[in-house]
Amino acid sequence: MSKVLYLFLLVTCGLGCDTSDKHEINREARLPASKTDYQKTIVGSLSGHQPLSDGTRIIDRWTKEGRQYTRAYLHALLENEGIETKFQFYKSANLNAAIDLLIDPFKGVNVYGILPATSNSKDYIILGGHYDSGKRGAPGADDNATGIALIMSVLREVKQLKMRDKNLVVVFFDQEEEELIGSRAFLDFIENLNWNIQSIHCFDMVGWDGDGDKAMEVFSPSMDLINLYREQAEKYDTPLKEIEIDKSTYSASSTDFDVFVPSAFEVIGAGECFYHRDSSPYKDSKEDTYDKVNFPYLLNCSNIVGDGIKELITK
Amino acid sequence: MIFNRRLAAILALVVSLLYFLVKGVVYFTLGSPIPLILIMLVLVLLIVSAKRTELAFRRSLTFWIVLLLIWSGLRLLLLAADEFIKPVPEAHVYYGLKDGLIWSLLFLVSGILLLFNKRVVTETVMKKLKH
Repeated sequence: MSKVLYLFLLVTCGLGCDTSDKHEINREARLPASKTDYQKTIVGSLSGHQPLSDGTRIIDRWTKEGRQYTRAYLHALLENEGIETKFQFYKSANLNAAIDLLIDPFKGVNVYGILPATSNSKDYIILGGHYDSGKRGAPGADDNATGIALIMSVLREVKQLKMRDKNLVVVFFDQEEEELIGSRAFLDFIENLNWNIQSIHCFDMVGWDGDGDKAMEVFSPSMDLINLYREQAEKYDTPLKEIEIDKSTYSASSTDFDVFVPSAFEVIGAGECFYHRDSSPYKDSKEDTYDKVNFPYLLNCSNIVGDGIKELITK
Repeated sequence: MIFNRRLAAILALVVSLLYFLVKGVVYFTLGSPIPLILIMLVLVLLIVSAKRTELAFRRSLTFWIVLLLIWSGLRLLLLAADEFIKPVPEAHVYYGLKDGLIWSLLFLVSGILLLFNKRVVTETVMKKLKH
């Protein structure tokens, strides 16, 4: 009996020490030229509506495998735009010490890339959105494949500019749905960099317009950023629902934007009208699928954001 | 005589203490000192009691065994609840329990092994200390 126990101890010790984290980064993205089709392809690929180029489908972005495929796809998207993909591997303690005793720390990977300025600049603008989905089996088409599609299409447009006075960083956060761990890790990361960050723009859920009013919602402690978005929205004849945040009393913790509010950076969050109660009822469910996404709405929001970012980049 | 009860029990004790010590150090580097403080307290308790009497050490050892059994039992219960009652909503918790299943089983077995060999472990430790 003791021999069996002894062997069991040895074998389990060996197995328990295997903490490898394999990342496949060789998935090729097939991307159309038109902006609408580009966004549809991204949302379709990220939500399992269409397979990736190697035939695999992302069922959800909750499981380890789903998030791993997603990183590979995001890598391919960035490489397709000629942007070098960088991975920020992080570990983070749980938010409660009692949980620390029971399970291992958070482990995740943020994916980001930098479109450099055409001039020698240390100024940076950051666009971010999360890539995980909220529940097992939830495809997360609206939440937040739409945010990723918006960011990628803005990146694609900004890349066409001949003159860019600022560097543009696009970042896709891991584990937003789990205490905003990915964006917290990214905040720690950028606070230790020698970047002169002008503003951070976060996008979460940009594919629902139930009342058909085209309205986009923005929330920020910075009136300068809100004014910038308002000017662009007026050009597209789009109502802008504004929420001015009081930094000193703000304590929300539900989207990546919230993490950056207490920091020294200028930050704005944008998307469908979540706080004005016109938001996808399918969030975090198996029904958050490709066919529920309002692509004309996504396109309109992308145009507003794209023009605003282009103005900031060339200012 | 490589395979014997004494060696298996001592190994179970050492591996369990080392595991939580490493875990404590990892969490400490991530800014969470509680796990390290707790394992240090257990270690101090075991060392101090071993220097006092055999009975004191055996009581400290029992305390550690109870902690081990609670830890592994709770993790196994949570994983069973995920499978058969209600899925855990957080991926991090789910994978923490699922990927750590081997550790939960290891320390459940270690706890049982130590529980039935407290006397042998105590004798061995006290003998080592006397020498």
